Amino acid sequence: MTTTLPDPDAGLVERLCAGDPLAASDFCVAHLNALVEQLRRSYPTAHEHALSEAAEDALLAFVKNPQAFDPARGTVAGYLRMAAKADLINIQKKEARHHRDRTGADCVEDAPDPRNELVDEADGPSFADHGLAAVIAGFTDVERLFFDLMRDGEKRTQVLAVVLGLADAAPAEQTTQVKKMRDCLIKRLQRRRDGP
Amino acid sequence: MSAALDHLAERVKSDPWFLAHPLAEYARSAGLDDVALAAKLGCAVADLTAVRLCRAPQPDTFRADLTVVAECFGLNLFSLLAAVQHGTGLARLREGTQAGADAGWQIAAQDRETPG
Repeated sequence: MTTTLPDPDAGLVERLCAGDPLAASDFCVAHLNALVEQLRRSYPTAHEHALSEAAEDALLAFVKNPQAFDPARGTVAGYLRMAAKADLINIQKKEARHHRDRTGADCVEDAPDPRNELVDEADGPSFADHGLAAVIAGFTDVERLFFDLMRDGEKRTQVLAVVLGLADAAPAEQTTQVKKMRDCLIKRLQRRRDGP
Repeated sequence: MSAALDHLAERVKSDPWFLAHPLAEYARSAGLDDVALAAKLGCAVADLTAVRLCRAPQPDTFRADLTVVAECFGLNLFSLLAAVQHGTGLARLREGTQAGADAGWQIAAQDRETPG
């Protein structure tokens, strides 16, 4: 039998849902610094302003719509971390488009753009093999988020398709592209593991 | 507080969902900097960040919401009420003026497109 610890933020979420005028402030004070720090550790090469903006976007979205959070699916901290990572990727995509330096998120083994190379040191220790860590460090930001979700056990095609920017695509297309990305990532990891 | 929280509080000055918005409108109108605004509200400058990150009062619980904020941060309730009412009024006036101007342009455009 497994025991689930109560989420320490449950009370804050209740206050947000109840319309407590102080709750948003308390929530931001409780989470912003930690969220920025987690992002900074996970993505040490990301620009500071992008880290701040991503953390802020995640917090603002949460305090304005706390009902979107489903406590049955995880903790508030985990939800914020995932949302902020997704926001960070969107910000970097926007910046990359602006600078026209990126070629897209196709599943190819191009050398990653150093400006957008996201090395997740916080999650790294689960892959002690330096070779695998190097492969993961070489993932693009989209591949990295996709990989993080896979590793967290996310199997739903619809959810993984959102990471690929295919939220509005037909289910068949989503299935194809998600499978393609999943196979590609696994193959790259296996190749490294089985290689010389 | 921290630089990150100060940055967030600055960002939400343009977001009517937050108390920062009417307070910013009021401070701009009255020509108050942070030190003067804090003095007006009766708090330390350092507390302004947390105050700004509170939710703006809802129309049907306006006074009650601000009472909660004032009690939490030790603010002068009457100063807070006055500042937020003033700031909210200014914001509405600005929105109304903008909406009116937009409507005026649309009417003018329709007049031009509809001959005689």
